Amino acid sequence: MSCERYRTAIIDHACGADLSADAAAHLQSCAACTVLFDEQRHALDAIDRELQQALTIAPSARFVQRVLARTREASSPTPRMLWALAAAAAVVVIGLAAMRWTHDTAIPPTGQVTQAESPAAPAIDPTPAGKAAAPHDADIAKAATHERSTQAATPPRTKPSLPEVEAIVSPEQARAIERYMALIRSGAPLPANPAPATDGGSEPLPLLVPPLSVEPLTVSEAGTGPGTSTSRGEDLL
Amino acid sequence: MHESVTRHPGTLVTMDADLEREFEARLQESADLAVRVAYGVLRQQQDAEEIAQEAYVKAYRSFSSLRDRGAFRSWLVRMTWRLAIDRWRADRSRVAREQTWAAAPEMTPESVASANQRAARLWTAIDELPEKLRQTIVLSAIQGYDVREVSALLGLAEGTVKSRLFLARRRLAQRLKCLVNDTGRQ
Repeated sequence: MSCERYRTAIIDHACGADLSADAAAHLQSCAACTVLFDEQRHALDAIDRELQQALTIAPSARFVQRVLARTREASSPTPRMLWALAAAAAVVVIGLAAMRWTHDTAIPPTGQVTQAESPAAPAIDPTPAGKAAAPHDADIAKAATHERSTQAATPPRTKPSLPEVEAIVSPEQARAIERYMALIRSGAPLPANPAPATDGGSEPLPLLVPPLSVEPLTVSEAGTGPGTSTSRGEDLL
Repeated sequence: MHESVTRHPGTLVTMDADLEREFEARLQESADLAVRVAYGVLRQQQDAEEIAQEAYVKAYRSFSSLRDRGAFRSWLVRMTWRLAIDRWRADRSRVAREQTWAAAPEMTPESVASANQRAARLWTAIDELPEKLRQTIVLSAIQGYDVREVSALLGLAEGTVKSRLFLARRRLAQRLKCLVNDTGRQ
């Protein structure tokens, strides 16, 4: 019978499948198959209604407020986040400071030079009293020129806070050199008096600061005889 | 429109006032949909609302790309479903114990069973469907079986939605023994 032939298609059609033209024609003309279709459709409609009814729930009254509260939390940093950010920032700052400190305390690559090689330290001409002669303006200018050329020759690493001098000096000597350079740059007249001058601060302003690592020159004109030397740079200050 | 969402390291997101208002409007409009989608998987209102909240928080973080109404609803449905399924799978053993399957009486289209028993059997049968069919029939029930709306939410062609609906209904009818004159086809 044709009903058997179209039964599966009719049931599938009740479930939502499309129906072929000949099956549709049979369904229209066959009362039994129409009853079959209607019963199947009724059962599936009941399932659909059951499901729809079960899913017709409403969110609780405060659902929207709770969602908004959670989104506000998502946009506000928690104390833990703040601590984590602060710790990360501290690590970065400490790292940068350590890098800077390492750089500042590094030995200059050009090493030390002797007084005799460097025109930055003019020759010492001790007076009979053993005191250093004041460097002449030309010598200081020569030293400044050498320093500038040295700086130009040396590949710049970072901008130093003190002038780059090719000598190993103590911090006090370094400060003294800095003061000399400031005087030179300012164009102020340099004191000729070998006596240490003050700059108004607590520390006397030295006129000449030779490197400590170099043996001073022995001068015979002053009648001091061979071997006489001012072996300690501090005596010249 | 300019990008008005600022992203911070980690999970911080800030929005300007216009975007906040827009998000709140979307939330009001789609709250029912999100909760129902989650409920369609979990069948516990509290759990469903928790899942829906999570989905909205994720939507909040991505809202600059979800401002279109259609895109927002579609994204929300898929995300809510995914979160709900993940939760459901994690709790599956507990859920299986809670949803006892009583021996089903022979059911004909005319038989009357208690509403709770029928509902329990129905949900168990839905849970046994393949995920794509399950999602389609649940969403169709939520949307009143509007094929066009469901296809927009799932990002599928209407023919695909119809096909999945058909397969889901057939399997449910077989499982619930609702096929009229079933000759033993499975």
